[in-house]
Amino acid sequence: MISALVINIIVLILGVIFGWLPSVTSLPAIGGYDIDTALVNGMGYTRTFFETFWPLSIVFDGFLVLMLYFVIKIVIRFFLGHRSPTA
Amino acid sequence: MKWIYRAIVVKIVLFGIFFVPAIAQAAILYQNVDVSSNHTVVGAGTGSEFDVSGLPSSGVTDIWLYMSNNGNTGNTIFLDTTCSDGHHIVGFTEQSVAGWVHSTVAGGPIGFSSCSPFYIYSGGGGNTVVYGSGGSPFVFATVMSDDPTSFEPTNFTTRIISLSPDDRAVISIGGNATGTVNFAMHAYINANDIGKYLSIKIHFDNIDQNSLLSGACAFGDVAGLTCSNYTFSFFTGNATSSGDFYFASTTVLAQGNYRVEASLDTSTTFLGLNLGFFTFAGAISDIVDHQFVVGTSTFIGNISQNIFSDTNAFLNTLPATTTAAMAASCNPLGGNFGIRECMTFLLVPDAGQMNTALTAFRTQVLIKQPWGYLTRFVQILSTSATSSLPSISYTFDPAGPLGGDTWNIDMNSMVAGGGSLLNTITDPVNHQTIRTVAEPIVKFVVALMVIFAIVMDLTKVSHSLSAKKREQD
Repeated sequence: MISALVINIIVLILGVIFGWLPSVTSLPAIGGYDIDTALVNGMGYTRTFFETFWPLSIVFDGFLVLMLYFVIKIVIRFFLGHRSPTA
Repeated sequence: MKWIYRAIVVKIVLFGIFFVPAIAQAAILYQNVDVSSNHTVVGAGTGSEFDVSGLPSSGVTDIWLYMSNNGNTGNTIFLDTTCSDGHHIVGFTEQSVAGWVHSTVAGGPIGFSSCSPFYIYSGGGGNTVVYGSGGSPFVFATVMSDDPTSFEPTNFTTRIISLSPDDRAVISIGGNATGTVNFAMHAYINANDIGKYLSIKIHFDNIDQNSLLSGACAFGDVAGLTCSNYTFSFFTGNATSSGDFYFASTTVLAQGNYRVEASLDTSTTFLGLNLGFFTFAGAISDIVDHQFVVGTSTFIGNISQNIFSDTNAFLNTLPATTTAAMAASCNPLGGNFGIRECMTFLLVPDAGQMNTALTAFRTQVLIKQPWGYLTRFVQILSTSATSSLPSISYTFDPAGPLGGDTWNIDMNSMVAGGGSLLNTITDPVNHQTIRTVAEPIVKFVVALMVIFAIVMDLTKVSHSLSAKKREQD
């Protein structure tokens, strides 16, 4: 109950702070080229390919996990600054 | 001093990365229990006769049964039980199909209070009991008091519906050293989970370790299925169809205490399944544990069994942290005061609360500019949707040697052909496919490399190596 309250308050505060920013529903078109559609189609093709050649799918998932780690690291560095253990 | 501080912070971060999401993952398990639905699963069981709990004590006018394989075309299927308000026999005439069958209760409404046991038998051939007989025909029944077809597939979630032997069952072996045990599982895959990575397994242990389980595969070799270390994998891969999944087999076990666990996990990806807490891929998991005794239990086995049951009972209380019953456990003047339950109520958020917070975080913060572009990018990358590969067509120059020929390249056929070659080659000894043999190794190596890269980065080893190289240069 207490932790849920703390988490909800944090989310509420962040929501209030950033609420005025516009939401992103798709990636922008650059020079008339729709990057969002291209990426969605590209990932669809890639997933089709991965379904058959399964080792590539495993490697790709491993890459995603690694990228997520770096995103977490960036977020921690953003909040902790030079006090971050990963600084 | 700086290093001590750094080590403490690293440990806190690792704790946050590994432990907290692991708890959250555990809590997610209970979302699969469809308790919020207006429709009530009133019973599911195994065995030629079975008991069910949670049955309505009155007002039942309609009954639905799920027949997996009644194999008795032309014969009425009967549900037969004796309850506190009398003996009920409900006939189902839609007996020729495997699926939901419905019957209006004659003389209803009736109640199902204190009924025991239930039988399901076929009206032909001298009222043969067909339920759970282990062979064909057999029936796995899920008894419902609401029309299940009206809320499939959205509300009937992917989960394990039944598992036998029942929890705390004692299987009589009549003074013999060994006995035959029937294993059965009924799982349901929701249509919304088609395309997700799915794993269905049964694992069992001799928990008092008083007998060595013989053979690598408890249930014998089954073509196309993998079995090792007493874990029987029915399916691992992308789910291609929805509906019911059944398993029934027998095996001979020595007397002692045993534990059987059926697990069902889905995720958008393999690593999402195995490292769901990293990717927040929303893996759905359902795990059912039953402990049973063959013949006579042992002292050590009973201790292990009780510890396991108590731990599970405690974990089961975690998701219910917001209920009035849990809140009452914090009242020192109330009769239900318990410091453990109270601390759980105060400190552990339940799955619903976490979901609400995460959903709010996604919709109110993560999608906002400018980081929303990164969120959208990750969302596209982690999708499991597939698209048919495009066909390529090329017409040669009429003046060239292939003058005017048009070549059409069907990428889908090419990929399918290559995949067929890759996935049908078998080893000459055990006749297992390359995928069966190599996939666990590839998964292990990739997982090891990812962990190694993260540890290298956290411990600054890679930075030291770079600095050393710069010094040498």
